[in-house]
Amino acid sequence: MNHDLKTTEYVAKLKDMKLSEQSKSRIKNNLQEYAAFHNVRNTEVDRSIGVAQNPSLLFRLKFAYMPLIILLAVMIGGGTTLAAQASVPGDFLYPVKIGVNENIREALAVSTDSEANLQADLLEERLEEAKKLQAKGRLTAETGVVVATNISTQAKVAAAASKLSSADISTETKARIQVALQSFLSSTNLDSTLATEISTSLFATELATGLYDINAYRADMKARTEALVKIMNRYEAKLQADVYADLSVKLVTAIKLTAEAQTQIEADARVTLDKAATLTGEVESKLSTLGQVEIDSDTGIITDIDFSIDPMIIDRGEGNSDDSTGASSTSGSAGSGVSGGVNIDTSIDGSLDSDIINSTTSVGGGASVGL
Amino acid sequence: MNQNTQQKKFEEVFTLYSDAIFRFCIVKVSNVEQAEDMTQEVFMRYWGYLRVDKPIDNPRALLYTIANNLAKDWYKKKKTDSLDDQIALGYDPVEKSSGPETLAEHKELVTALQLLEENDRTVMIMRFVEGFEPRDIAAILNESANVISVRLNRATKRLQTILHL
Repeated sequence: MNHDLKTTEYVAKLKDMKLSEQSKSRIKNNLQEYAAFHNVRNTEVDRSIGVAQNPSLLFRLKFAYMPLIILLAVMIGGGTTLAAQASVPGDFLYPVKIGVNENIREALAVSTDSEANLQADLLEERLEEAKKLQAKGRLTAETGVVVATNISTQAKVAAAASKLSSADISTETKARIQVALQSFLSSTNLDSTLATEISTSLFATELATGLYDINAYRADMKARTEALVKIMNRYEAKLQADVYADLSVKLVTAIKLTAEAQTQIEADARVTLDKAATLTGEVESKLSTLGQVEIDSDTGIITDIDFSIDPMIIDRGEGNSDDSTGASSTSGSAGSGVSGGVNIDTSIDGSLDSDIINSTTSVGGGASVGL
Repeated sequence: MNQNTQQKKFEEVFTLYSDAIFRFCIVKVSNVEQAEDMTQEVFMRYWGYLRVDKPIDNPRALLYTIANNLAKDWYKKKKTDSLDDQIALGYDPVEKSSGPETLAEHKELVTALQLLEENDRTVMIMRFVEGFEPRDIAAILNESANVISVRLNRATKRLQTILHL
């Protein structure tokens, strides 16, 4: 029995074993939070309350922390991310803006439409940042490269996202992207290092064209040339013979190229359309020196010219008929090329359908008038 | 009944019994971290009674009942655990307040208790560390007082052999 006593006395020494102070206060805190979260209920419930039977202890512990974690995230995180939102490249918080804020926004943009809108927003933000940097005089050669890369990357992402979205949103975001890029270029062109860093060519060729859906580009070129044909026909009498001849040749070539592009694969079509765009641009700019041009604000297409505003007096020369016949007959053939393209376009994008049919008929109409 | 008064009661109970419950848990699971988690869990469940104002005759007994049930769950789970997890077990307290000699004793005791059957271990600690009478232990463990007394006797002998006393 003495032995037994010894044993039990020895066992009793375990009485001194205690929770360490640290653990005790930690557990106490957890429990207080737990109690505050699972607060007192006034209904009698005869079951184990609010505690799952089997999940691990650690798991349940996390639940006890949850309100605190959320609160902290809102309090601390909210402030930081808000502050980060206003940051520009080179700022301490800029990585937070790019890495945290925008990732969250991307995660929240679930549909292709919201994604397209978000990517357009982000492009606008990149451009805004560049402007801010410039305004602060912090746009060095070094940051310029970063900014230029950011913008061109974002522009591509935005263009791609826009392509994937539904027709309405696609048109809308595409327009936003174009407007943003154009206004940016016009605002920085004159004075900035950025304009040299982001060379105009980068925007003009790689980005601006990259933004155009090829079908839209085709349709756009078609509409532009078709409008010019109309104007040329309408004001044939008012134009100098040599000017008319020169413009006709250019326009006819542009129309041919546009027709050619209808059947080409995307990459080739882009090159062809670029050439057509250059020629058409020359015609347009020449015309705009001759009189006050009226431009459709939605499409940017010249719809009419008021020659009375221009001081230049027009010689009603003869021999126009040859040129006009040449131009018109070619435009007639271009018209048939265009009508061939209708089927292609319909199969690719139904929404462009009506535009193309319209332009086909009016080009044909233009040709008959000319003849 | 309101949140504040219940929470106050809760804290009182915690202050009074947290160490005892921890001891009970550590003898059951022989791992400080797990015993701490388990202690916390016991009190969380206890709060479940307080928040709906269930009548509690004997807070201490209720705590042990909860702890004992949790330990049963723990053993069920442990059976499915891998060997690696079991190797990680072991009594290794980070208690700075006690001297090294006390710590060594504690370690020896906990290790020795591990060699007893689980039921024996439970009654040993309840009887000789926490000072429960056999009939109280019987009530908590849902056994007859006689069974508890027999178990206590047998466990004492075994432990004695283990400890070479």
